[in-house]
Amino acid sequence: MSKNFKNDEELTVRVVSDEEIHMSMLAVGKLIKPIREQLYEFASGRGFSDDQIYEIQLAVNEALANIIKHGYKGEKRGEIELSAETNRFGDLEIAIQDFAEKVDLAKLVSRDLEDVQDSGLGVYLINNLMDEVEYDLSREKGTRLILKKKLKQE
Amino acid sequence: MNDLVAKTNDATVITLQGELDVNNVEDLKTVIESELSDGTGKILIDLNKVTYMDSAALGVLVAGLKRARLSNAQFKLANVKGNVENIFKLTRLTKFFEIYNSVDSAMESF
Repeated sequence: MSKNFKNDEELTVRVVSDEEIHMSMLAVGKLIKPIREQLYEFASGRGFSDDQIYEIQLAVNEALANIIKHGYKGEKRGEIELSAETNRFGDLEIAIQDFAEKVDLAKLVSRDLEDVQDSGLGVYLINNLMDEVEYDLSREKGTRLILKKKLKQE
Repeated sequence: MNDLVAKTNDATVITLQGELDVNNVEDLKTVIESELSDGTGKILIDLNKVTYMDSAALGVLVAGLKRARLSNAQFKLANVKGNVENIFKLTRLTKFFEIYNSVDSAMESF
């Protein structure tokens, strides 16, 4: 899976087809903004409203931030693969694969909002912003997070 | 992110702009902590020009408010709108902060 990223290739974007893009990134926070921008380009061209795109961007933002902080624990050479794909109904599926230690689902709890803390809101937001959230731990290494958003016809 | 800290006799206004996320949140943290350490009793964060905020940025504001309360300082927000308002509502933090529709109305409240 190693891509041997060069210094100037911290983020690569590959358009697979009209319905699918792939992105590879190193686990560094500064790449979250360009990923958000790529997702805006992709989703806005496929009928998603600005409100829905905001929700998608924030959910992916939170997922990537969690991988960088808790998965790779700041190790900047860690790799993350992200794909975004629409199906024949126009619904969006995003898969985020990391190669860090697998997520411990027992510890992955959504925050109690009554207990106001200054961290740990990410999982709560992901669960509330997307229509479906699934963690696939079946691969030899890492976690594959699958996020689904239905296209709302307005 | 360019922070603009304006001090008047009444309060310190921290004007933020652009997209606040996990990548630049340390700057925000430093500015707020610096003001609180200086003993500023009244802090207003103006979010008028902020177009996006993630939970890391939100966490810094929560930490700022908690720290302000410990030192009996006032910590208020102005112009929480658009995408920024969305994340406050999603996390139900609108009830945790004192939020005003404008800098003027917030300043009058101190």
